[in-house]
Amino acid sequence: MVVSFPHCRRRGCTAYAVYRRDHCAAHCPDRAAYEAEAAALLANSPRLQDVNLSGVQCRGLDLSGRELIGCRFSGAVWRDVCLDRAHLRHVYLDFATLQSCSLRGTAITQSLFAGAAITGTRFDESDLPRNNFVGVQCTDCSFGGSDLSSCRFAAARLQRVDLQDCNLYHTHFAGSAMTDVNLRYCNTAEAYL
Amino acid sequence: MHLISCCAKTGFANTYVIGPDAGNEAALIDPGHFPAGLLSRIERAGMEVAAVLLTHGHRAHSGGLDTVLSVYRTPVYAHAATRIQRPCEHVRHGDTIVVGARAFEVIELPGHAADCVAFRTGDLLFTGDALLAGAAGNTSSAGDHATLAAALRERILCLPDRLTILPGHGPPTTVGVERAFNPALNPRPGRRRRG
Repeated sequence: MVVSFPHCRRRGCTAYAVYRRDHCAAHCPDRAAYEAEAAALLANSPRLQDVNLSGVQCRGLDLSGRELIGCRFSGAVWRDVCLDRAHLRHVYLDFATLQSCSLRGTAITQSLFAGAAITGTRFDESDLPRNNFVGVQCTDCSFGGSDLSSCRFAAARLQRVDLQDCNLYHTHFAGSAMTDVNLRYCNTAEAYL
Repeated sequence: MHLISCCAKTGFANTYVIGPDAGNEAALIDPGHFPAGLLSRIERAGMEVAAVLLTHGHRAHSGGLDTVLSVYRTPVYAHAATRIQRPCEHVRHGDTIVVGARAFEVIELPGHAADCVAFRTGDLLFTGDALLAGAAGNTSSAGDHATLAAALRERILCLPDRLTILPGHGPPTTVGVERAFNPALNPRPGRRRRG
């Protein structure tokens, strides 16, 4: 698994270059064409590893059942993206925007949603242990019946979020703000609420 | 680069193995009560442990050391204040440990314990218990929070946002995330930024 990628060639830019380009998404000279290329890559690859698509916008993709390992989507914008039953490991969605996405029945671990803005998105019945949700802004989302053990939600803002039946063993919510959050029947043993 | 990350069922501490794509010299960071199959995974990946790096001496992070050393004859690198029953190569702030083609810079981060160090290699930072996702290490038993917070601000905030932090417990994070949200690093946590 690769954790670092070549840097963007724009002078002074410290971001990583996106997959198969010399620049980051913001400095990509053919950004619209690149986003279409990236969408095709995602749609047509059952398994993607060590690919950086940070800052890339995607809409209406069906990525159900995909396997993503070591991929970066930091600061990306995903709308109406379906990742049902997908497997994600060491995937970076930090500071991303997820709107109306579906991640039901997924297996996601050691991944970052930190600082992301997630709205209207469903994670129900998923295995989500050891993920980073620090500083996430989560609105109108559901995680019902999911395993969120050892996840970290420090400094998160959760509004109208359904966590019913979740395993919150060892889950860390220090400094988070919860409004209209359903914690019914959760296992909160050793959780930091 | 080949990175193996696993979490112990006892103590929930993370153990990491990092080695090259080609060749076999790997570093093993924090051999705690690591889960079954780790040593076989290392072998299957074509790696051989050429060094053990300890972020600190707590049992959750060093309890598997005897097992590792029964398989690999390899040096163990730890801070001079680390108290374990094995001989160690002592490291201090600013030292560089070379394992195969990879160099690890030693960053002292005292506070959780006096012997806490982090190891930086490229865009990866192994922080042990000094820095976790969204929190500084626990200082309630024998540590000193002010010392730890000062060390984190002085020695972590100067690093680029893109660096991936692989902590001793819990999920990975980045310097950028911790800069934005970790109360020990940021006097006003919760500030939003775009990555």
